[in-house]
Amino acid sequence: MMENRLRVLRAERKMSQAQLAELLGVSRQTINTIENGKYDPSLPLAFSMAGLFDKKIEEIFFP
Amino acid sequence: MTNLTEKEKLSHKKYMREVIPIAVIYMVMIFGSVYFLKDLKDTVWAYPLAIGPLIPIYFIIRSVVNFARRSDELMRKLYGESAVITLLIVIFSGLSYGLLMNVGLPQPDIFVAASIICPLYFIVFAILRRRYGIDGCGIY
Repeated sequence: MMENRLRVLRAERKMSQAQLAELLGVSRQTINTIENGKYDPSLPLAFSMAGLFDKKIEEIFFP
Repeated sequence: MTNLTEKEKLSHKKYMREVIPIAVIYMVMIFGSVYFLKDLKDTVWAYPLAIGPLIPIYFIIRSVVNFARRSDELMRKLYGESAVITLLIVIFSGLSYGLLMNVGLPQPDIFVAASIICPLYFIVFAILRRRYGIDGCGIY
């Protein structure tokens, strides 16, 4: 599993997991499992996250 | 069903809107099938009457598949993994029981054996949810 900065980025924007899930079109559980490092998102979802936070994928996810 | 996104709520509503009427039709068809089969057992209508209740079952399967397709990627992964693990457990158990029949275990009732699959799927699903650290216990 990859590590990620999703929780930090979300907190910086004062977003709840549910709000981020709504914006990305996924379930809140998906955001929760990604933040906890239990699930790696698909490439399209990772690109959506990168676009939303205006970051490169490698700035959010890293091995 | 707390903390669902709008997309999930709509998907769940659509699923219930599809499945509940089909389930009612299924119940009616089952009772109708059993009732009419008594008198029509030796006619050409016996076969279509006997398998008639499978028609709503087809639509329920279609609704379940469409529901899974509308779900997000994590849930699709969970549904898929649960189905595969359930299938493997059923195959393993079936083969084991089949071998044990050589030492005297009785022939199992096919309906009893088949009725175990659905609860087994939900047990596997619940275990996988815990493994992924997903809170709650529903299908979401």
